[in-house]
Amino acid sequence: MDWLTRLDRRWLYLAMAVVVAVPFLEKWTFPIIPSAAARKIYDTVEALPPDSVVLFSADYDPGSEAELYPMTVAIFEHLARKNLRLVITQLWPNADPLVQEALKTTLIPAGKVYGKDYVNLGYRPGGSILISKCFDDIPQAFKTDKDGTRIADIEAMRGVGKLGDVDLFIVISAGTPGIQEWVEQGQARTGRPMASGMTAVSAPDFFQYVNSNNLIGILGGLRGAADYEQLVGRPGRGSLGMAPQSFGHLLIVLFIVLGNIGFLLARRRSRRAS
Amino acid sequence: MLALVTIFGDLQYPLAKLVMAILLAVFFALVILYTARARRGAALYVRPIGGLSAMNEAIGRATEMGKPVLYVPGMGDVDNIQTIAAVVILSGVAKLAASYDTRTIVPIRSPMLFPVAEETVRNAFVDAGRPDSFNRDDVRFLSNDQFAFTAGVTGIMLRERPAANIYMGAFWAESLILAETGFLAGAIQIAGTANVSQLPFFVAACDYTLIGEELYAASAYLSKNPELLGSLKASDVSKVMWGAIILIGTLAASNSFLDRFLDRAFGLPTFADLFTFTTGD
Amino acid sequence: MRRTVPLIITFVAGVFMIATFFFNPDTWPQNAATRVKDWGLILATFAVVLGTGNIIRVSIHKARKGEERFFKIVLLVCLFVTLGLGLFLGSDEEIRSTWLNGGLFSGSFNPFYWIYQHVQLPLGATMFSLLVFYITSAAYRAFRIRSFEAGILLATAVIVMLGQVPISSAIGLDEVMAWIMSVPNVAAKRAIFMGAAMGIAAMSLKIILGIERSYLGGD
Repeated sequence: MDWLTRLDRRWLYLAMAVVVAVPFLEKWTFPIIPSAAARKIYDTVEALPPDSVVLFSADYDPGSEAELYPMTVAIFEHLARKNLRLVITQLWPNADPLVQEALKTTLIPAGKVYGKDYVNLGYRPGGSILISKCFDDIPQAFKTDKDGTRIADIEAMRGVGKLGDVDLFIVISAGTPGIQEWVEQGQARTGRPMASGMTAVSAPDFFQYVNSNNLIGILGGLRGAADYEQLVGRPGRGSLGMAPQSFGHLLIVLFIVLGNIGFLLARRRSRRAS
Repeated sequence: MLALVTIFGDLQYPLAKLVMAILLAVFFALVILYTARARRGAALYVRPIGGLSAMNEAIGRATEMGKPVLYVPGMGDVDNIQTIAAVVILSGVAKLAASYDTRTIVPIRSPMLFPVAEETVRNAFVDAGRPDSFNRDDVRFLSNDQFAFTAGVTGIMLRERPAANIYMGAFWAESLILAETGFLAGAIQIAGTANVSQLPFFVAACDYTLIGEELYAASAYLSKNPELLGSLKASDVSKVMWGAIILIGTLAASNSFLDRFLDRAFGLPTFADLFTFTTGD
Repeated sequence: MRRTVPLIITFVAGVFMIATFFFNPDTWPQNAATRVKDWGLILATFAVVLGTGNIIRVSIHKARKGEERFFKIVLLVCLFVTLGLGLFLGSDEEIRSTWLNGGLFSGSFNPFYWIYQHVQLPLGATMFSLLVFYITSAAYRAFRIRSFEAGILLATAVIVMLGQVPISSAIGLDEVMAWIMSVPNVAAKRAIFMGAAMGIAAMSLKIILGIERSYLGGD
């Protein structure tokens, strides 16, 4: 059993590649039962009265597209079905093409009109400083939308002068600036509800905000995206990713067990020898 | 909007901000007090931190091998206090490396951080008495993009083969890519971050890891400056104090009788008052 | 002088920004703080020029010296091509009229957007997906039951990992995971956060008061 402790890591890589690629290419699917957290976000959006203002901040870039883009699409799909006003902001410079792509498959086919039903304020630098400025005065902080139209001339922005006028914050973020900044400068100062989505690896950081009621719920990684896709009844890349993710996790568990068997055997042998 | 209280006669003021102002004032007073005590020469014990003691060893090893030290000051911008802490530690590391005539390569993600880091390393070389050894090309802006930066840093690890990799500051998903590549390249590795979700990755792949506040305490340890050590002591004292407040608060919030008792006996606000949001402005 | 002036600026700006937090909105200190934050934004934008300048200088130096010449040339070509396309054509999928083309290219294919969609996006995703391999090897190497505590850690990790996949809902494992994440996880995190918050406050105060000045050099 000595090979277990000396196993070349490339074998591990190969096994992982196979286990992830096969279910993905074969498009295997699993039944998905949405988590309570995803359902809570869904129910909050469902309960919003028509013409409520939802501020969606896309604070990520292509690096985390795999996990966060499916989430964005699922949420946009849900918002498109409700008569809500959507205001999109971006704190990361490379988020816009992803936002545009998501709009093309959700709000635009649903017949939503730019400027009336939704508006994209685009990227502005500044992170928490920008949010803090929005708290006082959004038109002052952003001046124009992404295309240079003055905020005062945008129908979707009527009555949205500061963050306190927003009915729900949804922040999808891969790091800083992102959820923490929106909680500190936006949610906590206005007391408005906020939902968020993040990569699976950073999800443990945000459970504390759920416990303290700063966040109504969180969507963690691809599983979160798959949950929301199920709730809105539009299975996409999140749901498709569940089979490769399941097998990948099982394989890692298997490797940890194997690694420990090797470790325990080696330890027993060295104890006997001594 | 937070609940309001009346102070100075008739001025309405948010209660939570008032409490925060009082706690902040107490904390600042403690820092100033302990710093002054340290300045007068009071002996202060601080427990040793493995990761910081290893800093010397790591730089020494790089010197013996004739290879550079790689110092990554995190992925955060200069408005992130972890980045500031990372720059403070960088100044100590670069100075030590410079005194051994060893290069310190500093890859940078935030353009705002770039001039700060360059100046810090240059000053470290001047302080070490080797201003001519400073190579401007060693402080490099790589990319603002998270994974382009990561690819750049792993490239440096594999091409220039630094013997010691030090990661200090704010890190996200790239933490394990950096630390595992460094491990495979055979470097001695020390990490420190207050981004809790990345700690397990650093612990798994690095030789030493500074956890949370140890990152902020590092400059005091490295410089052994009594004034800085004094402020560590103040942090510890206020931690005990805040721990007591949290305990009382938790008990009061869980038990309305105690809450009302504290309210009547000491005129303290009830926890319901403190954390209630009122609607509107 | 070289150190005194920055220390004074730091002190004044730091004390002022802390003080403004305690003023009500729409009072002059808060408005002045907003103005200072604007300055920060402007500075941040100009810093991009500095960063780009550095990357160009370092790359040219290295290419001249013959170190990694090929890579450096690729880097410089990509940098200038992308920068030029973005500056002149904008970042939309279809080129909108910009000051340069006056509508000439309007509505046509934008190579900048194409580069973003078909080069940057897949490259970012590729780097991110490398994580799966690194996590596999790190878990295999580092996750050893060396002690009782390590055993508990391992059991918890397995539950959380399995809790992330759909089958967990069928056997109720996701409930266990949710409990682990929102009770023990949050308890430990809060403790670290509070310690770190104290560290942040102490660090900030040390910098504002000029006790911590090693970043200025000259000790």
